[in-house]
Amino acid sequence: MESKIHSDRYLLQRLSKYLLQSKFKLFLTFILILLSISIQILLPLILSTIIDNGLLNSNQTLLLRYILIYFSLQISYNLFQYGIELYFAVIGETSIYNLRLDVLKKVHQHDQVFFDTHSTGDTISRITTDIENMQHLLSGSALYSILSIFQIFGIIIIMLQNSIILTFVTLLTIPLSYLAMWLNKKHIREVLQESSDQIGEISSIITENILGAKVNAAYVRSIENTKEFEITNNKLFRTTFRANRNAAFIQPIAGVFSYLIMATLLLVGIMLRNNGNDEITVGVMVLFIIYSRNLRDPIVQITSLTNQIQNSFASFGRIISLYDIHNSINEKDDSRDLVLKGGNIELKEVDFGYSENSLVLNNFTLNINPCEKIAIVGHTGAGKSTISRLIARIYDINKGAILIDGQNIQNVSLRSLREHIGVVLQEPILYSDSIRDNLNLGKIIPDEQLYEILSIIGADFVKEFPNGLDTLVGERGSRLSSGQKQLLSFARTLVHNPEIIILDEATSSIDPQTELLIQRALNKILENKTTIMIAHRLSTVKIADRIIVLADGKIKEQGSFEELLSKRGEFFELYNLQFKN
Amino acid sequence: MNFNKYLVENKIDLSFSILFSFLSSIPFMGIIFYLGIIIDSLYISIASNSFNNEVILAQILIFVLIILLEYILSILYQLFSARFNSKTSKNIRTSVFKALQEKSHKYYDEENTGDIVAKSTSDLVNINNFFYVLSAQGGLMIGLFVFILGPLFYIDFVLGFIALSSLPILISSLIFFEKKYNPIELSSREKYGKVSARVAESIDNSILTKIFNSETHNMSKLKLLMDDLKLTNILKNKKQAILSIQDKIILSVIYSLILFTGGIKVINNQITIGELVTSLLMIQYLIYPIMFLIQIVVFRASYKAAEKRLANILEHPPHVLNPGNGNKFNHTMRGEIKFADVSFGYNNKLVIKNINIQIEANSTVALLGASGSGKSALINLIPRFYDVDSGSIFIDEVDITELDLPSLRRKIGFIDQETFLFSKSIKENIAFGNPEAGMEKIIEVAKISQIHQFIEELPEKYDTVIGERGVTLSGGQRQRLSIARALLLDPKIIIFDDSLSAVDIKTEHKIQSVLEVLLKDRTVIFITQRLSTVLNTDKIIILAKGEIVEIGRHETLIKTNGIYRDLFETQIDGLMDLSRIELGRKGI
Repeated sequence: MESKIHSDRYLLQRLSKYLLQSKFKLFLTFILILLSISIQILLPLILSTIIDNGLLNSNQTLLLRYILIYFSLQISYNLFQYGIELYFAVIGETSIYNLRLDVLKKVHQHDQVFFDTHSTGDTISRITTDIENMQHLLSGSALYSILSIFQIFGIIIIMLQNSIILTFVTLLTIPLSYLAMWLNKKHIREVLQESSDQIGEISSIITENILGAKVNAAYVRSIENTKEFEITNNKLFRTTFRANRNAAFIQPIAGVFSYLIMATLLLVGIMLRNNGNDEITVGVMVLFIIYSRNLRDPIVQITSLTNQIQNSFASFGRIISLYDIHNSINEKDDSRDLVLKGGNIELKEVDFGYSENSLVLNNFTLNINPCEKIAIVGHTGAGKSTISRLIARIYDINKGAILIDGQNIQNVSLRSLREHIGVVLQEPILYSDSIRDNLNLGKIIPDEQLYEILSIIGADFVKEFPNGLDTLVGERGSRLSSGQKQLLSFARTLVHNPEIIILDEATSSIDPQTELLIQRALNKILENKTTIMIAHRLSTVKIADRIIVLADGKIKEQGSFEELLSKRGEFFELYNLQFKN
Repeated sequence: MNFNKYLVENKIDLSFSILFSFLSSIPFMGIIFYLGIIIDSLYISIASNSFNNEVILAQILIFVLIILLEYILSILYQLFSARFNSKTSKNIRTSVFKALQEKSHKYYDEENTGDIVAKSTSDLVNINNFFYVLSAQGGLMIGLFVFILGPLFYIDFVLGFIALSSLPILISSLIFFEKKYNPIELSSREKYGKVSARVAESIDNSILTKIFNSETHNMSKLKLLMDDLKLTNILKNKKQAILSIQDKIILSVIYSLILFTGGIKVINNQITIGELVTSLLMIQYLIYPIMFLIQIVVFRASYKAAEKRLANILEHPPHVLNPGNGNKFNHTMRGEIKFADVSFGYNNKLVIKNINIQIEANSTVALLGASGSGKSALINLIPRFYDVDSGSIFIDEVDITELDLPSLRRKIGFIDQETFLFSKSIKENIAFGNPEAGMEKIIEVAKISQIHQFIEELPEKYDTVIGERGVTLSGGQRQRLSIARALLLDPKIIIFDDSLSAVDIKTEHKIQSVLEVLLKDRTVIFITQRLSTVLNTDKIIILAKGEIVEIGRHETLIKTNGIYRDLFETQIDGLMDLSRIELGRKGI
């Protein structure tokens, strides 16, 4: 996903929210920074006094007194710095934490279209790496750079009291440093955005190859894959090299300018003194030289802050892009909770397609009575799974309406809708958690109840595990067989006990004997529930009250198992194919 | 794990970078030294009230030249360091990617995708940061050290000694710090890996979260991990801040001592005022190498953590090894497979126990059994996705561990239960095993797999991109594509792991009738849940808890009163219904 470039002001606005969450700590840091800065302004002044009044007048008591003052100020300065660093760390970690939490919440709210169209690896890299890149900006260390402007003012005031002309020379530092900064700015942002996008791409290539590791092994693809990876890798190399190369020329410029100003200071100072200006003493020259260097610090800080900001903004832009996704599935402002009165489902003249130009369902109408068990059969791509996703509003229909007990699903709250509907997905999804966590998904359900449901559907294997429900299933359930995964996925839906159940090929990988067990159990479990069963295996659909034969998004035949067989139509043909011998 | 080889690979850039960086410290300190000289001229001029303009102008000119020299040198070292750095990071990324490609399945079973990605991206960045500070700043900092202490001793022995005395204290504080800090850094990285992994999972499982309204639950799991990470990171920063304040206070003490001792010496005319200013500025610059050392320690901690975390990618050899000089099947493979006393398990739990099977060349074998009975585990051993724990598998009477691994896998068409397709075009996915394959061949296998017609209906036909960035396919469509992908290899052995489970009956039937011809002179092993497909196979094997419980042809097994017969009767249930209706129609 390419990220569009947002305006700085917009990004700053979004960002400030996170910093302001640590208002109190930020305020304390603010005070500590001001104290530090004041000391930093004072120190050279004391040094200059030491030189002119202590050393050049050979006054040892004065020397000792001033050195003690100097020393104690330096120690306090260090202590303040320690406090500042500590607060920055806490503020930074907290802000990052909050930002990540917000982004994750937001991503959780995105509709499925988002996940279908955005590369997982890239999204992950935005939530992990890009947010890490925000560390500096979000730690509030920017505050230091900004406050160091006070240092500039303080320095100017003291300088003016010593020599106006030298003050002006010293102040040349400011425009020159800005020049250096300006040189830096424009190009860095683009390069950084480019490299972040490329890093995202690298993550997604790596992710895909990890997920497809078995296919890669089976097809002996390592050489080709490495070649493909190298293309992106080389792109990233060129981008980072280009960025670093340009930085090599631009970054040291600020330093050069500052030294050149020192040289000018010396030259002008000597000329002034030569012309009989008594203001210029050795102490004053040292003062100006140190100030010209100290003036550079805030400027350099601001310059590096701008770099930092460029860097962070590039990342923040990518993060923000996760926010500004138009969700097509939204709740209406006046949405109410779905009230179930039996579980009648109506699909009225529904049009739907995953892409604009190919409709999966075309003017599709189906009425499912309360507590009816309906089975949908048909060839792959006929739109069977689509129907289940439309009812749970994972996708929205293009035209027509879907009503549950007379309530249009677009008018009810998503939470209530999905609370009443349980979909057992074709491909079981498991977290790398314990079996219990995978069944509960946060709901508190006693173990006995879990075991009861597991035994009803013949998933006794859980009991046989030494750790029972605490067994960790591994990533994507890698420690279980496909059939076991399906059984757990099935059990999960039953555990949540919804009134409407949609079984999408829920038993395709389960062995016939266990399936038979489930079939027998289903009659009882599904009593008083509206059920939609999607299946290839015709043995599974026998318990249905009504069977729908779907072809190309249209109903071709419907009726009970026996009616359809007597009809000797499509279903009969399917049936014969399956039991041909 | 050792990353030194990457340093050696780019040794020219690295050496130049360090060299120029070191050299740049000379003008860097020269600037400060010269400043003292100019101040002395100024002092002498003021004291004697006579200005020698030419000398002072010449001094300032030299000052400017030194500045320019410093600029040029710093550009040079940054350029070399930039190239060194970009190249090294690219090379390490390549190595990591290559290593991941070689990993066997066991590795991926145990590791978490999100964590592997975190390792191969952000941990890699940490390795690079360390290399970067070393290459770009290392020389400069060594130079600063030398050129600060050297001139100080030159100006005055006592002043030099005071500065030097700080070093043992500073260095011991660093060593002490490193010991405490490294484990915190490692744990911070591990926790970051966990957060990444969970983030990845939640994105992957988005549809589940929606269906079960489990956003809150999922967020609370994430939050727990993130809380942990946050606390560790704060602790880490605290340790850093303590170290830095310790060292800064030591430097403050040194600074005041030098100011005092130097001041007395100026009053006693033992050193000049310019020399004192130079010494003081130098002590201020001493903070740079010290801060650099702190940074090095901090970066080295991340580097060490990354090293440890990446070691399990880069260092551990894959579980499944390709024999050095394996048999490459220069003759044609017959396709006879033999399992001899094969046992295999995951995590010390055997899932395959002492299995002996003889599969004749060109025969068809069906595997049946309950979920978790070991069917998939058994067939995964043939292309060596896993290696057996004991016993051996022979193909054409050669132990498969003695066969060249790529050649072995190219002879086997493995159609997995869970189809994985890459986000590439359909054409590229089908031609995955042989990217050079012609369009004719691709269309041919697509036709056999009954997916050609569907592809033709897509707007971009065979060039349509699928997956994350393209068209979403149904389970059955994906299975059919994976069959086409396997057939394109023209394999001698074909293994179907219940790979038609999501295909509808009609299409399945079509595929089967076309395949029948194609599979005639190949060895076929398939796992299925549909008994209608096993009737004509040469051998039916029924597994239970990792052991063979029944084996034989349909005709034989149906006569024995065993599991097969039970299974068969379960599925035949439907058939009975049919005949009842048939009878009913005829009025019987």
